[in-house]
Amino acid sequence: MLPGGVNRKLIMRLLPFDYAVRNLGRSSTRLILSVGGSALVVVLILVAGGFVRGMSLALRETGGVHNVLLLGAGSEESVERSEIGAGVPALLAASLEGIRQNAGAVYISPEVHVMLPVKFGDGAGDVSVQNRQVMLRGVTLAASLVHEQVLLTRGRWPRAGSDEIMIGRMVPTVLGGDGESDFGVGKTLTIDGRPWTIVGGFAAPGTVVEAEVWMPLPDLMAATKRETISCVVLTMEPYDEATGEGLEFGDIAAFTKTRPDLELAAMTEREYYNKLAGFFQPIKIVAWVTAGLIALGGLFGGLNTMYAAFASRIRELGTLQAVGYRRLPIAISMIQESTLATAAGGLIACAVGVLVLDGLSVRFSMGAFGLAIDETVLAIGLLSGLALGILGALPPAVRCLKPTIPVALKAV
Amino acid sequence: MSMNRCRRSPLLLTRACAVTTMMIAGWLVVGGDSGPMGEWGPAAAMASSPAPDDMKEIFKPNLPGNALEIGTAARVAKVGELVTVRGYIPMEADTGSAKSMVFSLHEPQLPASTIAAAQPAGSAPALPLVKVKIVDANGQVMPGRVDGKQGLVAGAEVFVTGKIESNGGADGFTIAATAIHVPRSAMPVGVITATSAAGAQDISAARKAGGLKVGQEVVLRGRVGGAIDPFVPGRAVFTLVGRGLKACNENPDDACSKPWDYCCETKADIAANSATMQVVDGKGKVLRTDIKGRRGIKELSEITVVGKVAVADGKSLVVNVVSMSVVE
Repeated sequence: MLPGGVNRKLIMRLLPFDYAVRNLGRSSTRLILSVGGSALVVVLILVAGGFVRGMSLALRETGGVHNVLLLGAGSEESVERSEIGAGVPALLAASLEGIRQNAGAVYISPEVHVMLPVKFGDGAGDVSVQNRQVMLRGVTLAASLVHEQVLLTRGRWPRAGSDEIMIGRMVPTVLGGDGESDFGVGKTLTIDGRPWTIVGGFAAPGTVVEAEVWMPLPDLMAATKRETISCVVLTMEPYDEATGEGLEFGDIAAFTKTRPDLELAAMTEREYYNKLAGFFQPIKIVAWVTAGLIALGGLFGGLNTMYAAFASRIRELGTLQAVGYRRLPIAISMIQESTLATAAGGLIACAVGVLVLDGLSVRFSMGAFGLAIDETVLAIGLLSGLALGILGALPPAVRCLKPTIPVALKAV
Repeated sequence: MSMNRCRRSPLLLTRACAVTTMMIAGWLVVGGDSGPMGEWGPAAAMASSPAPDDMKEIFKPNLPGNALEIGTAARVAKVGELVTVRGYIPMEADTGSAKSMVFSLHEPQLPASTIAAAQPAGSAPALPLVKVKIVDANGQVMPGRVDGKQGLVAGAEVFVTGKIESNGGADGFTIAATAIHVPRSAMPVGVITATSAAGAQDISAARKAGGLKVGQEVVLRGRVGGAIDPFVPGRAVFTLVGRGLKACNENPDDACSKPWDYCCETKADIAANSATMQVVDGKGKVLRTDIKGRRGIKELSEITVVGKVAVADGKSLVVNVVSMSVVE
């Protein structure tokens, strides 16, 4: 019994933290392998997390907060299949009060969305350059008002009737090739077998719009031989309850109901892209499952390593028990040792993730997006590293602490 | 000495790694709502949890389905039963709501202002009166006063879900509210009725016959449908389809999950056999309230509408509703 009436048996004497740290230095090769192995596993988890997160963010952030998309009824799942009359934008401007305006310019953007085969160059060069499907958007100048996320970064807006286009920042990723030399201002893209001159470039950070090629609406309608447009995107002035001014989504939806002849369906732009995100759910699941399986493989490898490390110290562990340390504090020290190594590997992996992987472009069916190694993904990576250390040490620790003290002291 | 120094370096390095990991973990977790965990952080979770017994929790944005009219509820509802009732806050100057979290509802057969004008000052209305108590999780009346908050003003249409505390039949009843919905625009009294008008013409027949003119009074009958969502949330507008078209569930072996969209028919046929119904205010603007859920109205409900033609250009038919009812 200690002073103060505390029962000695109730106090658990832990091994010093330094003991666990020093044990790491017993074998530098084993330490490097443990740290490197956990770093590799965590990098993989960061890649999977960054992939899922990047895809989700790109689709979730695409679309203006106050933007409404009007497309053909029945085509709500794919704007490329939608067809509406070319006169619909003017009808909307005349029928709806509360559409945003600025200096007389109404925020209504008629658009054509179509996927066409595109390759860089004028088609007469390297035959190994392949066609790839790219989203083309035919727009008017109103698109620059409605799509506030789009910023012109170089060159100028394309002129109608001159076979001119402007490309998003991620288009080189979608098409392959070398950035400035193949996609600079003045260079050519071959769209559906016809050469078009790049006159400008735009950025729309964090959205799938960056992987699109924009051209004047009349040019794309002529190239695709259509008289209808795909959709209209308009920006609402936020509704003010006090003054009654502005527009709400319900007003636009009610308008579509009162004009069934136009065969329109209305949804917010964000709702449209969120629905598209749902189609990629299986891909996200596959990414996580793959990362999980490889992490499991890494875990079993770690188990093997830690067992080898602990097995050679059974006599030492027996000695510690003989001196008076209980099994639990010794096990905690072994877990500390393992977790230190894997945590160090996790930190290295996070550094690689932030410095190398973050923003890396990934191509997918809708275009391209950047890996998002953000705080959420980093937290998952760090926690995975810690979990590897804890789970990788527990079974070997239990196994090595099982023998009784006399048996342990006689171990080789 | 040099041997000790060699042993200390990895020790210090490892300690640094451990401390860095703990600091990063702390920054991620504790950052709160403005921290990197954002809405995932514990501080944000605590902040976003609503305060217990908050009056605002009771107010719901969506119109509840299957609300009973007050007269019906007074006849059939039992004490202790959970019901949803619809009524209007009386126009009397003092309903008690200025002083407490209790207010009254009634079901006028006439416009509320007419009832208030017809009755002597201070007298109780002749129709059943519902006393609504806004209660907390323990069933106690919340502290504070209604005083026009959350849209609970004289003449407002209110939907209340709660348990019947006492039922005096024709004299009214008391309800302890657990959910309240106040539409942004009150549905005028008499628009949605219990009895259907006679002499209703099917929409398909009316469209086929043609000759409808703007301003003409019509009595039409049809089923709610014609699109995946024939209602517009938050707006008093919907589409009706005539019997000239079959809903998907009337086709044998059809397993459509939304038979009211008439996807088995062409768009042209749907347009030619449908009409849009809207309830508008004095300025011609569509009311900001739901139709779905009122008196059990839902997809494929058969509705009789009395109204005036607003648009009839051969391609579309739009009717301003004066009154409507569900055909039983």
